Amino acid sequence: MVDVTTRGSSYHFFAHWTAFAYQNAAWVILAAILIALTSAIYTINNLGVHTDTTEMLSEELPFRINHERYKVEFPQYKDTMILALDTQTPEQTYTTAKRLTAALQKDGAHIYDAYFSSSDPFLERNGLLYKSIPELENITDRLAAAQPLVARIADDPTLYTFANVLTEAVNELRTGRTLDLEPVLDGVNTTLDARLAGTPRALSWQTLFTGEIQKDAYQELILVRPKLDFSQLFAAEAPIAAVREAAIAAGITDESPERLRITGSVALAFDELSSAMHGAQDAGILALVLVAIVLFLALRATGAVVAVLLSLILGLILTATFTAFAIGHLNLISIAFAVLYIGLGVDYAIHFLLRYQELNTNTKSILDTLYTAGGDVGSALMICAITTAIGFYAFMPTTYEGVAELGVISGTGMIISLIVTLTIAPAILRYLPTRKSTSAIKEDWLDNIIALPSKQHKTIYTLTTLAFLAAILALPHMRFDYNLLNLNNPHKESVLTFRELLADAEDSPWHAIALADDEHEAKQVVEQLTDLPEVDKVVTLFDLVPKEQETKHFLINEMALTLGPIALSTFSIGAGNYTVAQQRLALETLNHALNQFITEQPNHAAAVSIRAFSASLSQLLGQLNTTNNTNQLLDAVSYDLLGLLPEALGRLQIAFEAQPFTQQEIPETLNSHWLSSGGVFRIAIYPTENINDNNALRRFVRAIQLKAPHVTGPPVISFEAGEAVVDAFIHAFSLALIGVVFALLILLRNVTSTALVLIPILLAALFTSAATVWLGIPFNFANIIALPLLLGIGIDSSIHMVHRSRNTDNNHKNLLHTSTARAIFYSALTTVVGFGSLAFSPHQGTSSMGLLLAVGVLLTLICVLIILPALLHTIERRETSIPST
Amino acid sequence: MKAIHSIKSSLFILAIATLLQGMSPSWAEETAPADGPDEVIRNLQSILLQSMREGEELGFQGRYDLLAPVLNQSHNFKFIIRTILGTYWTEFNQDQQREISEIFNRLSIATYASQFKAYSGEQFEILENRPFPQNHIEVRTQLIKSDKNSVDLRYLLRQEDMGWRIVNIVAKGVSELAIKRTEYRSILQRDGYHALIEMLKEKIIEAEQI
Repeated sequence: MVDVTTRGSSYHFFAHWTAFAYQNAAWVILAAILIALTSAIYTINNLGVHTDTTEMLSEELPFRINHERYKVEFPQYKDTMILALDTQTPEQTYTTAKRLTAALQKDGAHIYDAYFSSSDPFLERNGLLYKSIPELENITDRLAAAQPLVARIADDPTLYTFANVLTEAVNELRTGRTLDLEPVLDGVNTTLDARLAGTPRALSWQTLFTGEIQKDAYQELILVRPKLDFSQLFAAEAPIAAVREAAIAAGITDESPERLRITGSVALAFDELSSAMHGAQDAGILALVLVAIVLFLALRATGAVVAVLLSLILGLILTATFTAFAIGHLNLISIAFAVLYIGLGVDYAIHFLLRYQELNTNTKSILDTLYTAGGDVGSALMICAITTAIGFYAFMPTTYEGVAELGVISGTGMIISLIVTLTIAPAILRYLPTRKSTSAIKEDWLDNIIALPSKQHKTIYTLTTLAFLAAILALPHMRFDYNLLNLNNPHKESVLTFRELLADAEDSPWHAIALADDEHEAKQVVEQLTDLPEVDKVVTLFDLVPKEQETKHFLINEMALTLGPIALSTFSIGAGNYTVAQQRLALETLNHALNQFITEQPNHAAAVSIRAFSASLSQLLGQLNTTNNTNQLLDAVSYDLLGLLPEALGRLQIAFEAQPFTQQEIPETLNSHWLSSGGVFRIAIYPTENINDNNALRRFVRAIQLKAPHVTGPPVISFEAGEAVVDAFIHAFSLALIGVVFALLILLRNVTSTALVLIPILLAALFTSAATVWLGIPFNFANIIALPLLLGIGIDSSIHMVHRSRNTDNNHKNLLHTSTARAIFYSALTTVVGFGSLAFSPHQGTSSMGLLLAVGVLLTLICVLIILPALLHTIERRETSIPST
Repeated sequence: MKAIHSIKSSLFILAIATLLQGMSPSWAEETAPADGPDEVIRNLQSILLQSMREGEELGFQGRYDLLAPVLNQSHNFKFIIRTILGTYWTEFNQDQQREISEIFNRLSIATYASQFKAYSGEQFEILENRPFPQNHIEVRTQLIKSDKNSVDLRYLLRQEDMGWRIVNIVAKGVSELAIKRTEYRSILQRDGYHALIEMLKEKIIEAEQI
């Protein structure tokens, strides 16, 4: 079929255009260089990057309105870092956290505020009131049991005295006195063993006093509000560096047993941006290299490859300039567009140059060849560019700005690509002419592969139907991953730490927030939510006021009296005035007493602890005999055993001053976290399950939304944003489809052609959706745009195929041997490697987008090169069997 | 007889006076009606000295009767046994509480009576007093023996309607409340209320016999 109309105006328009560019090559190239330079400078100065994924959704969505209200009432929770400090004992964690917080609070240049709740003087004093009555009783028992030891040691905190005191205690035990020595002995024993084994760990007197088993690590969380410098691309870079420096200054290094990890929304955003950008940069380079290779395979001529690459670079610069001008920033999704462009931007050039090469085997002049090539391909390319652009522009009305912005950038990028290709490629060819090649013969291997399926129509239809059915079956299993954390680089410290906090911590950083205007409402909300199985606990200001304070106050009083006066002497912990010989003698006496006890009362309840202790002590004495550094070893053991005692006792002394208090007496520093200056109550709702899992997240959010519809906080935001994004994607895809259908009907003026163009694309979309299930790549905030994007991209190949079949005299059997088929193949290949190189990005969001797009383009290629020709053949057969009019 | 008795009395008074000379001079003046913590301790320690001096003559019961009024005045034994027993106290019924309180009271006085029965030149000295959490006062004293060795004795007092009263004694660094808490509560846990009562009664008998 020959459609004469197409050979009319658009043919000549494009033909003239390419000829003009060829004839005025020098001016064209010069102009191109100038434009490139000025644009590049403008772009560098004006293009920024936005990192907040959820801010890309419309501000009018309910979840955004709820979140805005929260940010206004409680601004201290906006843009925070969480510092997770891990050390070996609760005393050390507390002291180090306090020290670090104080240092950070002084850093006015980088930090607004650092908050370590436990170190608030009000809580230090009244902390015991938050314990339960049985806990308080237990502590009093522990203190009573330890008191005789502790009083003496506090007076003279040396190893010598400690050994003597223990000896006396053991002797008392031998006389039948009831002493609860086991906890102390076990604690001392474990500490000694740790030192002898080379992994020293101080004895935590605080855990002795509370009667817990000393764990291997204790954690405290410090909340930091950094000063973000939005004039920089990485706004958090300076504060994060400041925190690390402060940590080193506070003694937390790689060698120290303390460990500081930075996480929280600011750190996560920082890592996400850096992963996405570096990923995109690396992918860009990889894509360029791979694309160049493919181009070389396709064009077999360096000159042509150079022409394509230059037009690509110019197109990229101009698209970036357009972005800077029209939008002003990239977001985490459109960052990937640069890489996408590398795969897409070469397509028009490939089609043009392959057609040119095909025609170049004739004896015509280069100018004439160019003229024909331009004319032939020009109109097809125009249709492609318009439909693709419409497909992309259709994203604009959606509520998902991330998609809308990408749509604007991509659509305009395609038009820019068209203009640049038709202008630059011919101009460069003037100076780097491709040689007349005998490409028809050399392409045999590719031709054969492409032509292979064309003979098996029945098989193709059968396979297609089967695949279609399989895909339909897979569709119900499609899912969306709401977890914003999964988009990030899973190996970064901020991500790993955050996941740990979500799983373990009492204070999970992902909790929901409800706001209440007054006390009554707040209490109502608490009541409604507490009983839900999905809710672990609900915390409000009222929880800052413990119950049964009078009783507890009395118990604390008893505790203080029972412990009696403890004054820590001003001697430093250690050897004191005792010689090595004296200390050793004290230890030996102790060991002797222990052994006597075991001999006399082998079945005493404490015998097990005493035996173990004796064994360790013997080992220590042995080491003292063999080592050269007796002083050092004794000092080390002294510090291990007694170093944290002053801290533990000091904190106790402060805690003994507890006084019952009412809500009104809570200081502002604590109050402001739960009650805003506007009188709004903050209600924190914690999940029972680990909501890192999407199903748990959905259950949690849905359950609380039933009772408190305006609830906000990260879990709710993720969930609602996800729902909004899925919604937006459905909109985008539908609008794109409608827009494309209209465009095709107008441009092709033929319903059958329009259908033929669409069918393979829709099949590819279906198969790609099924692929998310088969390959285990769920949709997420980044890759959900794959389907609408594929629509815009895939349509080109389909159009080319249909257009060529309408406009050539050849019957379709040779259709697959044309430059068009080869062009479709190679342009799809460049697109695949372009997207595929994104798959290697450490940023999971970008990587899944690249992977899904690559898969989608491959599937599109199969549909266009295998299924579409079969359809075209069937239709042609039908048409030829009907007598033509 | 009367002469000897009067000589004894005057010696007694002299002894007291000597004792008083070694103590804070403010005591010589008439103090406020409610005794401060120092005064309470002085009263206590002076009666203890008396008990030591007259110990042989008075015998156990005599010492007991001598010490009981001052001890009951200066100590809050009910508070002490409550603190020692902790939550167990709240689990006892009223009769049990009364019983154990009374026995503990007797035991405490008996213990004093059995310990302060002989005199060989001991002296008490009040060193200082310091604040203690929750509005208590710690009075630091020492007992100086004839060989000039001293024993560190500290008292924790609490202010009540009838004045300052002792609620804990820390002798040589060992807190009475702590020791007794460990001991009594372990018996309660292991063998129950009656076992504790029995144990306390036995201790009273022991004290009588020493």
